[in-house]
Amino acid sequence: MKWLVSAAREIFGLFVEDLGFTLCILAWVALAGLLLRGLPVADPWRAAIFLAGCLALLVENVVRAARGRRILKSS
Amino acid sequence: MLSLAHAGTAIASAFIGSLVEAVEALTIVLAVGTVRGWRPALAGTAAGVAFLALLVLAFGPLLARMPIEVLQLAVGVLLLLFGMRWLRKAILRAAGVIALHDEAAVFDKECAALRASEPQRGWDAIAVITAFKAVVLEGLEVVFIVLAVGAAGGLLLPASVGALAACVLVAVAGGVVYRPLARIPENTLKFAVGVLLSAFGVFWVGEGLGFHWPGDDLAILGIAALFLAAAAAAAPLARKETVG
Repeated sequence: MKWLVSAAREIFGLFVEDLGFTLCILAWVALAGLLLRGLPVADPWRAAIFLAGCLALLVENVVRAARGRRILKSS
Repeated sequence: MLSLAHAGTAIASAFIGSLVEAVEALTIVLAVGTVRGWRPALAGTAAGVAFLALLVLAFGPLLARMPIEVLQLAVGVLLLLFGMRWLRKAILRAAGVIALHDEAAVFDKECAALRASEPQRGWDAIAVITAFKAVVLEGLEVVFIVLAVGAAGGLLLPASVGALAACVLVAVAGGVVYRPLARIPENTLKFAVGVLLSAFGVFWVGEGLGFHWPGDDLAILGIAALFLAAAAAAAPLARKETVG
């Protein structure tokens, strides 16, 4: 039973490490599905906006995580 | 028709991703073999491989029955979460924000844990389960990478070939050097796989949502290049944040 719980935790950990980051990605995918499809823009732009959002989420989260570490170290 | 760029990217992603996971599984199996003997280590490994094969046989055909848009979106979202998690961690490690993964330290820790528990008569259940667990948990990641990279684009065969080649290579290397493959540049590999899997994820989510990618399959290479550029820019920014 203990082994199953640890296996389930490992599988969950494959996709989720920073819960906030995971939720932001899921929210961006949902937003893209709901709003981007309805935007009056040419088709390649929808894909480009979606990609730009993913890149921005990544960079922002990495910088925030590094800042969080610095604050943790100094406190 | 299979795009060479698409198939090549699938093989490379599956190969590098599986290489990282196989090295991690090998470390634990080597620890079990060194401390508790090779019979339980190999038995646990064989049982783990058989269990993974059963999983693939059970769930593989189910994927083929899913509508393609649903499959693209589901696989894309999972790839995006998995790939961006790997990439985020690799950037933070490259920036020195978190410590690098150390196979030799993992091996020593596992050996110490195995020495602390008494070997059992007959079948050494603890040793068998330790090897089985390592193979199944790391193998699940390999299976996921192969299915995720291959299922949505009809590339299961090239992805499987890439993964199998990586596992065979690691098993042979482990058998030859007989110790953890600590000199493999794990973070560089994770960085590369994170870039490729994130690119696949973005591509498939876009396809699943009905967006049109310029250049179709070739767009994956462009997306990967942009992820690489963003990750390369993020690492010094993160380093600056930790010192500044």
